Amino acid sequence: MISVENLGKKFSIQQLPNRSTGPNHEVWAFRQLSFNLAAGKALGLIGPNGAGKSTLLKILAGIYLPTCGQAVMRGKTGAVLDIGSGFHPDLTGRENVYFAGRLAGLNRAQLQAVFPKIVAFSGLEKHLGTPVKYYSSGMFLRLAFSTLIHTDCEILLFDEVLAVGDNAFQEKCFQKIQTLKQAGKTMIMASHEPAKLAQFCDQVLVMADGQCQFIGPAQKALSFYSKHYAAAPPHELEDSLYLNAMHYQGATVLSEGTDASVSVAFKLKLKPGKRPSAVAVAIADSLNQLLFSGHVSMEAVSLNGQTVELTWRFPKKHLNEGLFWVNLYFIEAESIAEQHPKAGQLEIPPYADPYRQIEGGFHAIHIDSQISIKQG
Amino acid sequence: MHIINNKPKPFSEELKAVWGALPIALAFAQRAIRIKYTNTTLGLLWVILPLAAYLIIYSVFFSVLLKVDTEGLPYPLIAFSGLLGWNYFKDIIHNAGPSLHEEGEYLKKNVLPKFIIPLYRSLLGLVELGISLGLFLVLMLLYQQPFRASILVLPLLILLNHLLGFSVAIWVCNLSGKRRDAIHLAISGLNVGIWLTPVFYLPGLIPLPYQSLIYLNPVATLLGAYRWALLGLPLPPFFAWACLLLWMGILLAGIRAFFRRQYQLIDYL
Repeated sequence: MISVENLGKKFSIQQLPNRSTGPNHEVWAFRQLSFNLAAGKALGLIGPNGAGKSTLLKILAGIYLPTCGQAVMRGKTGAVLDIGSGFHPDLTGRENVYFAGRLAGLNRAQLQAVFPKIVAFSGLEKHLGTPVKYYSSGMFLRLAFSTLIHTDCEILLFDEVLAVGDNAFQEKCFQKIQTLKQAGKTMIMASHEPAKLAQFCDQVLVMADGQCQFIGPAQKALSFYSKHYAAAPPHELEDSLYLNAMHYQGATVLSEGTDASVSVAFKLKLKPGKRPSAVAVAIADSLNQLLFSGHVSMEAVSLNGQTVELTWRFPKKHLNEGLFWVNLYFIEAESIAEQHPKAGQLEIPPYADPYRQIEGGFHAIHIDSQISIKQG
Repeated sequence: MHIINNKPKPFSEELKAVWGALPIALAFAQRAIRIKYTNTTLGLLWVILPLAAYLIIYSVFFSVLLKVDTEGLPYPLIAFSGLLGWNYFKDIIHNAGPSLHEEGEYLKKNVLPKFIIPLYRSLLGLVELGISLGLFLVLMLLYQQPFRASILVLPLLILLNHLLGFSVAIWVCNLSGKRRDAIHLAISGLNVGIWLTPVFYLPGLIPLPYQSLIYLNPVATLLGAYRWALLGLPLPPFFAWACLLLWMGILLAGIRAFFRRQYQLIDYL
């Protein structure tokens, strides 16, 4: 269990060019951070670069001392904060595992006992005798992660590391993390990939500008993050093949009740003489995964630089609550010639139906279906 | 359960953490030594070659050209016995002094008592010392010098040598957080210090009224003790040992200061 109270960390940074004149420049990596994490739960950290995620993990790991506040950690803490920095390039995988294990607090006998398990989980049996300087970063991760989860640490901290594993290994990690959580291990992981956090974590903490902006159930927090910190940069149309201007008109809900539909509208000003053969509009969820799209031919539009209004309608019931992105694609010869991801945004408010609310915590899309249980 | 806040932990708790991590320090040292000599063609011969070069140069200058008084002993043994302790002392400062800066990235990403880093680095010179001692004993045989019972205190002298070197190195660590000047000062200081220490001469070289001043330098006392144990020369005077004891106080204060400052230091790395 972890209980963090009013934690803050200030760095004083020397400005190199005029360090004799200017006073040291003080920066709060983060401040006034408080949260509780129960045993057996996983917390995700997300936020823009420099939001203080790594610093928080380093404080919890005991590398830095906080400037104010306190954190109470019940249980031994282990961390993988960087891929392979704990490994020595000239030593073999086997020697490094022994070394990392000792560092994580295992004694010789314990290490002997878990060594085969570490190797089996990492899947690197063939490469144990190779100096790790010849390893790929994925192999580093496999070894570091496998070693850490086989120690007796009750609190595990990961900084941005799982991303380098391939899909098969991530899947393996996912299953392992579930059993570790069931065994009462507590985890905190920082990542920039909302989809990974949604998969691994129960709760997500959104950090930005040195503060906690949101903490809550993963899907809700990620939706918040997506809305406030993952917005698309302002659309630059200078390099556009087809467009002089693009204006998102917003989304409106037409009629109420079960047959309500959503209408999404764009105003596009085409360049004279330019016109894609078709245009597509697609909806992506807050994790930026595409859900569905609509297409229309542009052949009928004249070539003299007109403004066109584009409206896309679909049934509202297919979307669960949360934040969605609207992407725009121009299609030429059956392939995408130009895309404008996150050109628009829409938000579906929570449904009254409690099952729809639960569903909203899992995934973004809804399809009417029947499920029945027969007894006997 | 442990609590993380900005209050320094008690000295005893820090020491306990270091004690628990001692096997790690040894493993670190072992690893560093293996790496140092694995990717070389000559391997451990690299310990012997520079030493032999020094001995020849010193012998030519001090014994042949300047004819330094050696109290009847062969000059190479005098120079070599001085180099034993001095080189180990110097290695500790060279290795452990800048260790926080050199391993800052590692310290910032791995969880271990930070004291382990200067500690393990201070042990690296032991290989050279061991080989040098072996060579010294061979040289004693060649010069047909008798082995005395006092040679048995050698482990104690090596420990003293280590503590002395470490007392300087730990202060270099403590003072080299924001600015690296302390590291440069220590390394330049060593170059000057070798002349202020009876390494390739005996204290008898210095005119009488000033002779005892040399024992303000604790390394002079240490080298005197080495020469007493190995060559049967007289032990340094009592007050020299008092100075040495003072130095142990500096060591303790240095370790204490390290525990207090370690988290400030890492912020600068």
